[in-house]
Amino acid sequence: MTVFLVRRLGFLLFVVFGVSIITFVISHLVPADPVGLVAGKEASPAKLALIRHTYGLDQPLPVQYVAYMGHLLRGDLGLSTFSRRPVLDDFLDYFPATVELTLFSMLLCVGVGLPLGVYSGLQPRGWLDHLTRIISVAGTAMPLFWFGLLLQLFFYGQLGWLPEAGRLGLMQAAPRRITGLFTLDSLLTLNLPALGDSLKHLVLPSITLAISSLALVVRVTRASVLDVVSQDYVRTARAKGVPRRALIRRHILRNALIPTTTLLGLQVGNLLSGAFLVEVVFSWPGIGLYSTNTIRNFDYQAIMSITIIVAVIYSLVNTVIDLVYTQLDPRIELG
Amino acid sequence: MQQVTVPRIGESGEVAEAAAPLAPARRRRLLGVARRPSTIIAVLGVLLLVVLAVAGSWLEPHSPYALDLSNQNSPPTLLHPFGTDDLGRDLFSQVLAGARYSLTAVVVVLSLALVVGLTLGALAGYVGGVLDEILMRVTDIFFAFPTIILAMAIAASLGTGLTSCIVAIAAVWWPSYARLVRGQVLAIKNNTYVDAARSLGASHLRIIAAHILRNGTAPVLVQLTLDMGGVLVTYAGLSFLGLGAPIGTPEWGALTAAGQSSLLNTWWLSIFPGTAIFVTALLLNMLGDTVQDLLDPGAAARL
Repeated sequence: MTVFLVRRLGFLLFVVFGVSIITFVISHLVPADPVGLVAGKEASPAKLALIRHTYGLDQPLPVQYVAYMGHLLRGDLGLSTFSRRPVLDDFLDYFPATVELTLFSMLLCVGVGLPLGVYSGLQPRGWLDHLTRIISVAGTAMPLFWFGLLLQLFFYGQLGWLPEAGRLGLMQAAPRRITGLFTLDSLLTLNLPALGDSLKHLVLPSITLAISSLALVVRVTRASVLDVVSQDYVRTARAKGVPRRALIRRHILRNALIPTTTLLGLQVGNLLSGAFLVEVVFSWPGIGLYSTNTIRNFDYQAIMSITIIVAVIYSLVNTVIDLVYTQLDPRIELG
Repeated sequence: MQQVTVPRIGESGEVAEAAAPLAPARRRRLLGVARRPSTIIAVLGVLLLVVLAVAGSWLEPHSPYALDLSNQNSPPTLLHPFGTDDLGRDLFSQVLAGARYSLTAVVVVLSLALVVGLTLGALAGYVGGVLDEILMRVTDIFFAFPTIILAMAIAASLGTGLTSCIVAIAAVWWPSYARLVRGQVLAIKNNTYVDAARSLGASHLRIIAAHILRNGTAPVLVQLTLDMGGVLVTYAGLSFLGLGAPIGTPEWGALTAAGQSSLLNTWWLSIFPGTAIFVTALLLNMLGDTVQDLLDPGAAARL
């Protein structure tokens, strides 16, 4: 087990290193001269050269890369040219909102997607199965931003049941910050109005974000259940007289859910990607909205730093999921 | 589909050769797939889309760029079936014109990804060794980025615009093709007929071209068709975020974004282009499923 752990962590380090190289390469694709952006339009050539020297941009690329890595390892992710704050501070401000959104979407995926997939797999060709098949086909082709706009139009525009955008209503103050997740913080501080309001604001964005992952989870779970149900050991258990509920829990689910667990791990990446689009639709103040604004403002430093941070976090999450996964499925060989 | 010649012994004992049709089981399966409603819808739908994209400029009732300032922001009417935007441009014509951008993007992105992935993957799989290790590590690093984030970073660095988007998405997509092709090459390389060819003196190039590529392409084709919908939605998403077409271009994602700020008053501006994206992606996905059923029927069950 420890060998596996060490190897996995080694791989993680390698990936983080590789991610920094790629991001460094991409940041040098910029056709606009970054020095020109900082110096302004009327800068003289001497001033441009001076700025270039100050930022070390006249050094050969490998030297620049080493300096860049040095900054990264010290936690210095540069200054946003737009907000004039360290990018890391900006990131820590906006990230909890994205985490909250992604968490609730994942909850929806598992809470709605798994039962739907299991039940339609247990009763193929029933009405639930037909509904599930429609959802799964439509969901995978669904452009998230369009779906979000539709939900906004219907549930806010027509029905007025749910809010249009943001994490809280205008009249509601944010709960005291402990984690940055408004639902958790209001729960911990027993701030019920804030809890209710933040939950209400979470409904539409998380449904929007969850839809395509949900469709995939349903599809995979259903196919997996169908596959397991046709196996010999299930037939044996049923012949032995195992009661239906125990049959489902002990034999079918435990084996059918293995592909789903793998898929859920992969979905974290999809949810993160989708969050960028959903945040723009619902003006959700997470890193998706932040990134989109930095791109509009040509804030290259922020864009590259955010890219690295998100990739590193994603790799970390994947590592954790891999480790958990090896605990769940004893058939996976370690090391 | 080949015809197999089967010698037949006639009544008077002579051996005549008659052509036997395609093996019955295979033909039955093909016809079975072809008769399904989803197949028919998918094939006809995609054909219709291609026709609309190619012939769009003759089919549109108005020019997508024609301003009509007396008719701004009008809801759908008979004259303007999808309504008009804030400069009076007909949305229906714009959506029709957008089909061209979207389908072109899908074709170009997948072609780029395929060319790069095929070359690198085939090389790595065939040569093996250090080259293979390097390719695996590089693709590992690419997979560490969530899709849109890497695409955003590349598109932002190259400068916003449709070509940047296409390059960015291709850069995100090529690693999966490289891995797929590498896997195929590795699987086929160890087959007996390759050994036989080599012992007969076939050059490496001939082995790759004649044996490996010919026999290994089915999963790649399946993957290509399955990816079409995903590429389309990603491309539209990047445009929606502002990384793609400049304002005024009748590209579906950009059109959806343009209508967002006035969504409650002028819902048609965002909804119709978005529906076009959804329907196209749906049809492409259905086509991909059909191709998968045709070429690799076990995969759908295998997951």
